[in-house]
Amino acid sequence: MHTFSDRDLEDLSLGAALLGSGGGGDVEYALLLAKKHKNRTVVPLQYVEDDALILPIAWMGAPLVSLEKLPTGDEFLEIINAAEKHFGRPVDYILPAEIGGSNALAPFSLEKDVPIIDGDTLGRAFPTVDSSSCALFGIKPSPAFISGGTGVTRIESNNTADLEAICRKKTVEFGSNAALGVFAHTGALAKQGAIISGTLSYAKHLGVHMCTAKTLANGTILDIDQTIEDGFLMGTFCVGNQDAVWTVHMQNEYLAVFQGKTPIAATPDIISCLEEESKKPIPSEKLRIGARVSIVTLPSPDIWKTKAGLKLTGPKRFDFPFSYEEVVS
Amino acid sequence: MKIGIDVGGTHTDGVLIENTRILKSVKVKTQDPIIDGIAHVLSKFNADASHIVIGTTKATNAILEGKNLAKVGLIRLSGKHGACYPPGSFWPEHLLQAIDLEWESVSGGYECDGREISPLKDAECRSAIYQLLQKGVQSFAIAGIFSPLIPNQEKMVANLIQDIAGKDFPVTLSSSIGGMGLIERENGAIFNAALIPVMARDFALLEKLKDDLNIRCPMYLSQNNGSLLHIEDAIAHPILTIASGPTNSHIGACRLSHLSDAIIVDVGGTSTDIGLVLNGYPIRSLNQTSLGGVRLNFHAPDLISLPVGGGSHVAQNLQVGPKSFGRDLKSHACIFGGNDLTLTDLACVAGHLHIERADPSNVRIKKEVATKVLLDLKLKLNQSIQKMRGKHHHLPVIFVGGAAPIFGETLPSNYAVANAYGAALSEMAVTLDRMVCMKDRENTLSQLEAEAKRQALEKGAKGEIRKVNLQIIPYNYFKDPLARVILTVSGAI
Repeated sequence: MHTFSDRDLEDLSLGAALLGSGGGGDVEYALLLAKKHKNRTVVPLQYVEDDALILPIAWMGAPLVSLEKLPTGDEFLEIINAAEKHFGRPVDYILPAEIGGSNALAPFSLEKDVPIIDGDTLGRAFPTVDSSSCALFGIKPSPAFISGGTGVTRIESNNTADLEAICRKKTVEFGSNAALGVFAHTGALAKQGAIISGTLSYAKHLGVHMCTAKTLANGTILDIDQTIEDGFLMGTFCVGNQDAVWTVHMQNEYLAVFQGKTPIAATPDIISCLEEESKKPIPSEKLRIGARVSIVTLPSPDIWKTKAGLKLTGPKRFDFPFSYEEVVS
Repeated sequence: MKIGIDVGGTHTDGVLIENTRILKSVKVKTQDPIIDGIAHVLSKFNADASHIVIGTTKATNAILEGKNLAKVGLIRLSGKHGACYPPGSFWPEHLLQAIDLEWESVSGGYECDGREISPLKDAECRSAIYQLLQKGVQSFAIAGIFSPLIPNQEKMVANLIQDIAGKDFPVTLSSSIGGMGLIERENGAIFNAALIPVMARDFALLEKLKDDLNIRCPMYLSQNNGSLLHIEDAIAHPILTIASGPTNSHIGACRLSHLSDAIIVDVGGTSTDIGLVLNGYPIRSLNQTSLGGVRLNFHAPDLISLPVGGGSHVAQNLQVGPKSFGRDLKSHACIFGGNDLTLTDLACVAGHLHIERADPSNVRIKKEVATKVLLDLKLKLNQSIQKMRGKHHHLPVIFVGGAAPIFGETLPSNYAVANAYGAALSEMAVTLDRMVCMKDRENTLSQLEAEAKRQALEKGAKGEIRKVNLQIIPYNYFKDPLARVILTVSGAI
């Protein structure tokens, strides 16, 4: 067991921003909020009881909207209360559904003591709810709990694709920002592989030692071409210096880096764009022409490198004409 | 003829221009109160100007020093939303004390698609206003969720306040300050409310100065985006005058060279700022701006700052800066008989600089060494210029600022008063920052542009009003293509 200090949260937020791969929202406000609360107990997965009830939680929605329509601060408490009522027993542990971006800090901003498991269900950030280790492992998506700050809605769905569609619709209804609790499961299943263990510690470690990321490019953002397609921020941006030009493709998150026409990094590996001077990761919605940046990469969590994992998160899932193996080999 | 004045930390600079030609320039010591320096400059221009533009750091300093700020009552229209980030969150203690913030949160606010999160409740608002008045607030600020999108609720609360407290009671609407991000916009509205009484006095002094000196032309203040602000607007929105300095000097530099696009290197006493000007305006920074440790959503120019300037100390190992003698250069530099080696000394030895009553033979450094140090510095500077340049391969580099000659580059005439020149050339600009549906993209954009131009016209812009900046930031998670559009139009007056 571990009690996170304010300093730990700062390191975690920096590492989480890096793992956000450009998505997952701005960590700054989430950090400020987490620092005000005292839900700080982090438990390694191995100490979690087999019969414990675990609920992964996360924000879903447009990061820019959340800067204007701020949370009430009670959303996750309401979700946990609703889940406890539904299951007729206490929720023993929570964890961030997504370690990448602001969601890494969501469990810490709870007005109640609920221990947090050292782990998450993505190992990074992804644009949709269905690329979750819980989904890959076969945890049922029903019921899910969603809150826009004024009461909780329970969502029943048959499969993860339905879940994704319903959640997205609800989120827009709630003003494009909502809190979500989904893929409730037991300690036994978590230990068998439903969640990715150790990612909170890993993100914290990354926050301290940013240098573990491999630099692919240094330069200035030359062009940004972004559009919205079906609710996703899609597009590319180019980074160049005197010697070369790189193109980064994104769908909320950064998904692939090309040098000329050759892909040199691709999802599920984590691709991040750091501001050169501060070394702070820049979220995809804050990119700006003329910014001086480094493009860096970190290896993907192992679960996504399997055949089934790549099907959910590999380049072909995002319509690239090449496989992950072709890029890393 | 126009007069531009820049009140800096060390010098108050002034220029008198006809069309775009500088007829006369003046540099005097900045005085306290600053109005004395301004009067000194104006007394040297014995001419009938059509208008006067003043850039001042007065509002910035009032916040930084926390002096004479009004007690502010904030009404936040957000219901339960944001309860976890109460107003004044994350402010430094001394500012909270200086402003003595009181606040009430009431039902209200809008969704990003324009729906009301909840309607205003008249009784609840009135009760909030009475409570704040009872606590002795001197100035109100109102901030509602997505108010830049729809300011109606904020306006309704302002009407209630004036109903209750009187027509002249100061009220600041966050929607009139603008920008997305509730906390940052709210902070700006609170600062503005706190500044209104103190700045109103100062700006009124300007009016008095006009009378004393028998000046009949209009006087404007310089805004943070480099455009003009009527004195009465500055009295209502003093926060808009912060951080106009770098913007003015970059705009001035470009215009001194008759360019609309250029890379600007502004060499001051302690630092050198490198920036990019496109379409006559500096590009804006990606970073969050803050004033006195409080986050604001104003956009400062995107600059690379090197800790190297005319007053920079040169160590025995020939390391330049970051220590600088700034305004005390004359009592330290070797050329003036002092004992400290500075960059200005090296520039004199290398022959880049000739200063009256300065004696390069006091400097015990060989010419070749001085030249080499300056050359190395120039290489470093060039690296930063390359970074700032990005894809703009062919843009010229313009050096300005009082210490610009140290790099031995060709300089535009009047390089030392680029900031005052920038102020004199300021135009009337209007910036809209909106969330819009981009389904009918062309139509939406042209409607926004028309609205901005109409506003600029109302504020006195004449002749051609140009679109100088357009930023489109798409929002994800919506089926409809929703985007935040930041549009600036500008025209001469």
